[in-house]
Amino acid sequence: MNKYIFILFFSSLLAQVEYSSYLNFRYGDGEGDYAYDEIYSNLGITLNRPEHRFEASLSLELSNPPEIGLKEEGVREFLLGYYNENFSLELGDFYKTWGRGLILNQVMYQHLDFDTGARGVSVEYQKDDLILNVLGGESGIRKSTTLLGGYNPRIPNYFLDQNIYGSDLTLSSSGLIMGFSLLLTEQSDTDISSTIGGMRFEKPYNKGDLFLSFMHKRSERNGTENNLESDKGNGIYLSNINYIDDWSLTSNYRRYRIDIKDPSERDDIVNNYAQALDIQRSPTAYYQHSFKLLSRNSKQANLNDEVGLELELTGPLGDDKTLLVSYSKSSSTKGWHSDEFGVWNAEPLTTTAGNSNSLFPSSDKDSYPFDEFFIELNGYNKSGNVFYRIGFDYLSDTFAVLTNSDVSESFEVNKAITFPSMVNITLNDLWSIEMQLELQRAKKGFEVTNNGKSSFTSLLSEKYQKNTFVSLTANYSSKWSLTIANESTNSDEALSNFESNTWNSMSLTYRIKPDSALEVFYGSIRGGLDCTNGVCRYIQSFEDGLRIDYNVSFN
Amino acid sequence: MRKYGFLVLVISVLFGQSTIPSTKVRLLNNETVNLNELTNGVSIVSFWATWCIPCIKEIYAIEKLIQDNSYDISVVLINTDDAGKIPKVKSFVNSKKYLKGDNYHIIMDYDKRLYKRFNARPIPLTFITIDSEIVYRKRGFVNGDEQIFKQELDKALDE
Repeated sequence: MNKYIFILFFSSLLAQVEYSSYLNFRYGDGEGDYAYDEIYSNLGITLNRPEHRFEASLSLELSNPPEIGLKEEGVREFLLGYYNENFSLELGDFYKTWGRGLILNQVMYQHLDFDTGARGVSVEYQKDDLILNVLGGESGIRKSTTLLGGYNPRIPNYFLDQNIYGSDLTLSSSGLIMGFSLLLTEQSDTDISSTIGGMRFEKPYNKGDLFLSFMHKRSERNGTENNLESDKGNGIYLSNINYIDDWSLTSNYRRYRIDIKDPSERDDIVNNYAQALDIQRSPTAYYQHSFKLLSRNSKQANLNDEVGLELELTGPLGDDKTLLVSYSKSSSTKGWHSDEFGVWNAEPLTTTAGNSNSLFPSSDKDSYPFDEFFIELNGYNKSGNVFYRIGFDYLSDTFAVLTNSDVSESFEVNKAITFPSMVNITLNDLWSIEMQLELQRAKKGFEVTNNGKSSFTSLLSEKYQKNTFVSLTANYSSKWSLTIANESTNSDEALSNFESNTWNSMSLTYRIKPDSALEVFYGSIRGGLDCTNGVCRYIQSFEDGLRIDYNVSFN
Repeated sequence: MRKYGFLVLVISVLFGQSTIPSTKVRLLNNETVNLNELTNGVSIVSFWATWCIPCIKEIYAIEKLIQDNSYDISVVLINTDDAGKIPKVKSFVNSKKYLKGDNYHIIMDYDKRLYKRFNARPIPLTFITIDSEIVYRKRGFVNGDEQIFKQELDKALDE
């Protein structure tokens, strides 16, 4: 009898428990050493009681090796949480964002192996117009860099562990939302610490809203002679939206002066102790592209030293079409000039008229100017069975200042024009097809001026790199999907003359259940930059191989 | 003893429900609401982002379905863009008249709490719920999925 009571009791208790689990299996084997074998599994358990909720989640990884990152065989993440109406307590791996991320914005971009979560405790109290978050934990960040030995684009060789402690208070009053934040960090293996404080204000109004955020950072370290070095930096981000009926005009402005370094040290992520922290992912205000060639040509944000402006106009044309026009401009906050001995000196930015300018991005080559203009029209035809996107993009990026003296100038530039397009047609209840075509002409190399004589030296074997991406997908009955893709170029900086300039692939996807799918891919994928929100990573090409991706959810 | 434990586990998994949790979430207009208050009756809940084209096509398909069939349902769109993309989300929502309707709720999940709770990667991940209980779950969007949505919504509305 007792056993039946036991079963009944625990069954009724556990019936209030919810389970969710997810499994992702990935396998790839290409030419050379490009092979991976990964299994990710997430298990979540929730116990719902009146006015209380307990959650536990566990992420396991079994990868040897993963496609990108270090091999893992065990617990990747866990989280235990208690939640009620006004209070939450989380113990384990947490991700928090304060305001729009100027001080704290923890992200996980697994495809870039960029994870800025922290393991520790986060407590949040919320009552009426007040939200208070207090947290403490340890964050471990890993990257691949050519500045250290053993560089491999797929395996990190730079590791940074730091303790973080902080609190954030959000208050609302009379339609004004205010936030105040303080964050302290200590690097575990060095004597580097930083204090970041800031505030933010948001004011929605009838036809739009205004957001303003400031931050100040102070960094300290023990120098080589045990003397205390310190450095200060600051950042400002301003965003304004104005609605004109269904149209929106958005303007974003940012000025980050956290760690201003000359061109020889600017990209040194290993030794610049006062640089912006990875747990601060301040808004970049660059357009985040979803077309393949444009995404690969994205701007890598410099959150240490950048002034930028983005204007975007978007709205409907008729019932089913949307027009988007975006313009982004940025530069460093100083121009750089070297003297006869090659010593770099910072100079104020100048406007095109030659006036001194400290607030807006400059077009002078000595200040890393970046400009992008993008326009896209997307929408449906009248009967709703054709969806299309067509666009145009112009990009100009000076991403390295190599020399800039009275007698010699040399800048590394990338200029590209891209025409992306796609169309998706529903043929009948069972069949639909999707075609994508992207054309790009790029100019990559060095603009050099010696004693008044200008020249351009291409990084490529051709003056212009011409890139083409074409894909065709057929979907059947929401179950089967077959994609054939081709990418080609007339010249690629990563290839020797003997390698192919064409990447072909074919993939077949079968949706086993509505939330479970199996994809089998065969062929090659071109390498290059992969960027998400200003975080970029070089991804090596995958040549002539097989990939299998299977994901399944249980409950 | 072990076999009883196994039996309890099997029973609980078989009869355990999957529901939208009672948790505070932030809407695009900064208001804080309880998530499961938005999913009373029949609802569609979908994880999306402004850069995710299948998500945008799915949102359009859902709206067309609601219009064509005069469904009285709630649509909860959980946005997973980064916090720095809030202006982008706002301008996207403003450009679609229907997203400003009372039955649409845009939730900002930039600390990815709900995204992780529901294993939402890859997006779109979409649920149909009845009084916060998940009765249908689908990942990805291809043309033709709207027919499946229609079948599932009709079934849910008949219950």
